[in-house]
Amino acid sequence: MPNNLISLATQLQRKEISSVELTTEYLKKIKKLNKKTNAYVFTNEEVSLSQAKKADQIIAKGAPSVLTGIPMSLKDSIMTIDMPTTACSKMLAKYIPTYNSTVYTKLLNNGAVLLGKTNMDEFSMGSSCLNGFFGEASNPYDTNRVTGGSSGGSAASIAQDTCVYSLGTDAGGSIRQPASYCGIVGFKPTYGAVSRNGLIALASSFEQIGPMAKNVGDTKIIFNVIKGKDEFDQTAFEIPRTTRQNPIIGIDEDHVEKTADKDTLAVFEKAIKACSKLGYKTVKIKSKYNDIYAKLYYILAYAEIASNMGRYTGIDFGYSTKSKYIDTNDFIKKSRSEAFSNEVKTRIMFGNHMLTGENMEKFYYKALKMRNDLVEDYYLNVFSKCDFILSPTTPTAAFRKDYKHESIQESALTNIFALPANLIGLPSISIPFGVSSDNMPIGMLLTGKRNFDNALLSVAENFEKHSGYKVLN
Amino acid sequence: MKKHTTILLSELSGLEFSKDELDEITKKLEDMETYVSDICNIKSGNEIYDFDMANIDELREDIVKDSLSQEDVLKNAAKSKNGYIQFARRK
Repeated sequence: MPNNLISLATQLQRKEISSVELTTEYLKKIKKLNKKTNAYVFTNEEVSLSQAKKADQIIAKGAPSVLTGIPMSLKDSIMTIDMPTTACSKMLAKYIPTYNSTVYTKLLNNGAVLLGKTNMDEFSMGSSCLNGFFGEASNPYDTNRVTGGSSGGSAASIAQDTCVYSLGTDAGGSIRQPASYCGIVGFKPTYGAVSRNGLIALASSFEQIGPMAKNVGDTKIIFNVIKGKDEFDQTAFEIPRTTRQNPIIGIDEDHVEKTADKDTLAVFEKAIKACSKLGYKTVKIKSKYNDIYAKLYYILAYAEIASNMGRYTGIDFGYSTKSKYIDTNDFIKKSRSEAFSNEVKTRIMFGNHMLTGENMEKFYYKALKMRNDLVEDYYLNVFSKCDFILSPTTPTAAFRKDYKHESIQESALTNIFALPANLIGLPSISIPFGVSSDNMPIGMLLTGKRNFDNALLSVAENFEKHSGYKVLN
Repeated sequence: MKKHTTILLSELSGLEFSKDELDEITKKLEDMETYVSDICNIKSGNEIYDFDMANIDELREDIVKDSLSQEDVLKNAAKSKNGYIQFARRK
């Protein structure tokens, strides 16, 4: 069975296979493989098959889109009224969404078939997919390793071919890092290019919904369906079409050498060679702020998390304590404390710490100013020399599930190359490019200027041809 | 970081911690604060971005439209009665 979007769409439209048959095949595969990876936390055969039947009717009428009848998965923080949406939290374990997210509506309007909701770190807080209420996800390449996170279930669902594509979300590398660890493509669009209406919020000024797929071509098709202005999200806008002939690729070798391990550096060298094979000029770049990305993220994103998580009281929706309580505040405290994991509690506490008393000026306002310095530095010093930045997606391949990061500094390094795109709102894509000495996938990251999503995807498509990377069978 | 600060923060955050948890989270917050504190020593040339409402010409019109039904709004509440969320002040 061919497993990329275009070849499956061609087969469906030639009526060589029906969407019901295809969906049934995928549902069988999920039953068989999900025990191994726990990529899916919810499936509903009735819903999937009913959507597949509708897709077959659209195809029979001769009016399909390329996504019609193609089975996909969605991260469990993207609202769907026909399947649960819990953000893998005890807080929302019984939550029934009352409306569909804009991205899901757009996919349904194109005849897409939802196979299920995928595992994630609770409320997208994590980089391992070990922190969800429904159990940890495992990397299909080696089940003793993490999938990465927070969109780890989405990445695993594609890597083990239990769906054709998925949508994840990325506030600090959460699409690109798991894509790299699981050997698939993950794209974080320009901030505002895709509506966030119906996304369970983490850090609103950082996060974007984006496509995850087996190749860049599929990613491009999905992005073109989900992007665009939305009356329900004031930050969403129509990005211009962009192209870039003879692109210049910026490389910060010192930063990469200081951070990445030997295997990753070898794949990075291969990617630099691909630039010359493609006839792309490379230039050296250096941002003044390499050492503070993670620090700014900790201050600003956690402050936004503290604010966004304030809505969970257990009264109008969400988990309600069964214990005795003395007043409303006590009820709220008990409900939140029983429902949130330690990771979520820590982030709320630190976010509020950064927003309280003298810390507001000392840390939060200072970080806001530094975020502007970073934008200025990227546009005046980095993008004045190049069109796109090339780096590894992560400093290492997927780490073992039992590996404990020794310090905050070490755990902050996981997303060090991915973070600038979230701090500045840039488009950024991870492409599988090689493997480590123990055969774990390693991805390369291309990041472009704001609004240059189409140009970035075209350059990524060319890079992909030189990766020589083969997806898991 | 003083444990008293953690207690105040937990009140503000709507969370409660056991004595042991309080010690643990105080240490974590302290480590995190130490980690980010470098930014205080870096000079910033910029001011906080001042969001200029006057230059936004695409604010959504205030038009009353049908929204979620009362039934939809109430279906996630633990208890509801006569179209209201029901909540006991104490238990």
